[in-house]
Amino acid sequence: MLRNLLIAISLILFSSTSFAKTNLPVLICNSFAEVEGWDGSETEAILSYTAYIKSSTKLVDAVVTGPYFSDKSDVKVNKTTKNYVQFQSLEDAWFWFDLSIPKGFDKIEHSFIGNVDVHGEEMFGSKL
Amino acid sequence: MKCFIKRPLKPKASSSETMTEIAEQIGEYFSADEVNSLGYQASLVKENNAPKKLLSKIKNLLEINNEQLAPQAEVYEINGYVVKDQQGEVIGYIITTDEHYPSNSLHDGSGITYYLDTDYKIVEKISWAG
Repeated sequence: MLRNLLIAISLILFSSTSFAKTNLPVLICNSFAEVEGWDGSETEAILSYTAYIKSSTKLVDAVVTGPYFSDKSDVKVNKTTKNYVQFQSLEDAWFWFDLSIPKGFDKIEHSFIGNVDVHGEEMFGSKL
Repeated sequence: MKCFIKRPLKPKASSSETMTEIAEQIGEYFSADEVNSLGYQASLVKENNAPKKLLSKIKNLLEINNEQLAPQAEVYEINGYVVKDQQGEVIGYIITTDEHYPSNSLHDGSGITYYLDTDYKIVEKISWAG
């Protein structure tokens, strides 16, 4: 009985948080051109970094798609420079991805430039 | 990378508001891919699958533009798009024209992009060139 009640409460909490996320603004960053795939071969895919914006310092369900498929995770700002904030890394099996975007990005109404540094094991990173 | 923020539309955002917002985001140079990257779906229509009212609007704009451009130029291509949201609901239409200047090729590569609401009313008209 108690177990069923806890399951029901969990489901309600899960559904309410899932629903809440759809009301958050979404950050969408796309590379300007197709990028190379994980093995260095040409692809026809642009790299996309998308996330819900929880605040100016926290992104929810951040994910990289296109030629790479990172794990989906929540990330916080881990480095701040004069004009940019860099978020914690997203990872897939062999790569990690660091997003840098302007400070106060969540208030920007127009499109803006961001960077995703792609770091791979045993190879140099690239900036997109 | 080009970044932008897609903010949740107000529940009562009308078709004309949404199409205006799309037009402002796209700017001078329209492409269906740009619309799709904003989280909508722009599908090119063909004569046999276009909504009748959209087809009628396309023909109407073709006539008007050709009258205005004559005799220096003509519309040599006109396309219509149906724009849907993520739920598959039609939120508006886009019509694009491409102009041809037979005696002055410097002006080739120009035209107009029209953004229409679901009542087929033009809510934005953006000229492009280059």
